[in-house]
Amino acid sequence: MPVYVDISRCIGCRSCEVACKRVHGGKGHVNVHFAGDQASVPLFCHHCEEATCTMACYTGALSKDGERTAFAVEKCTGCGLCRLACPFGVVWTDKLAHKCDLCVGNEIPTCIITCPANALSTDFDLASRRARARAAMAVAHGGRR
Amino acid sequence: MIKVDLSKCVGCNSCSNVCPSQNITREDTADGKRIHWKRCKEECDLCVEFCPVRALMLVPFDEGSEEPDASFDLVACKICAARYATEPMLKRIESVLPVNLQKDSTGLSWIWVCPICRRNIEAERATKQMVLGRSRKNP
Repeated sequence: MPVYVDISRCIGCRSCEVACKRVHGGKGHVNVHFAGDQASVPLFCHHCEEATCTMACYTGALSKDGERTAFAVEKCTGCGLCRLACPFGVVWTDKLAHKCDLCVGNEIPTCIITCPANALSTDFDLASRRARARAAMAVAHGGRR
Repeated sequence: MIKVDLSKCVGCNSCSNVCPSQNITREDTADGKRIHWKRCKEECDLCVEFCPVRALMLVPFDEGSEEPDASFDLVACKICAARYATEPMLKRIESVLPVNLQKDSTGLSWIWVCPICRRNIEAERATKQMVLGRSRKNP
């Protein structure tokens, strides 16, 4: 149940960043990037199916737990290999590693609850439903190229 | 006391992080990194246990032995040229990941790109997709 982003909704307010920092003791795992003046993109762990960070981690601190890529801080030595093994650059290390844990223990990750633009969700189908709805709207209003 | 096999050391932060008595020090500079192992009398072997490449060994204390040092140049990012990691660490990642995961959909060997550029690439990719969708919607 990773967090999915509909970046066409993201307004770049960085609320998710702040919320993430708040619930993780000052260490945030979300990074809102601005792609020129076109869009803002919240970046965080994708919880990859074939998670390369778990392959690089030799102590078992990073592991797959169902859909989640789990991180056990007590096993982390802070070596920094996972940071270099993440293709998306969303595992951070300062002394120890830290990354999105999907707010384990909470029913819904805090970034999702916080996002004022409803750009984040755990529902993969939602993004594709929205895309279909936009396509239908375009057809209704004179078709599309 | 710690004996270091310098040919194996990858220059990670593991031993210096786990040492409870600060006997292993790390110096980071703009384009390099230096690790220094002090002569230590502790019976503890946490650093040995947690070395990812088994480069460390516990040997009897010897007052006259030299304190080992490892120096590494940092590799420059293929895109922005910022120095971001030691070469042996990146090589190690290359050796543990399946080959098909070492290139992204555009054929880029992302291991040799720094994490900041990796994030930028991801943000640009997502933006392109979104802009494409929008331009379809508003012809």
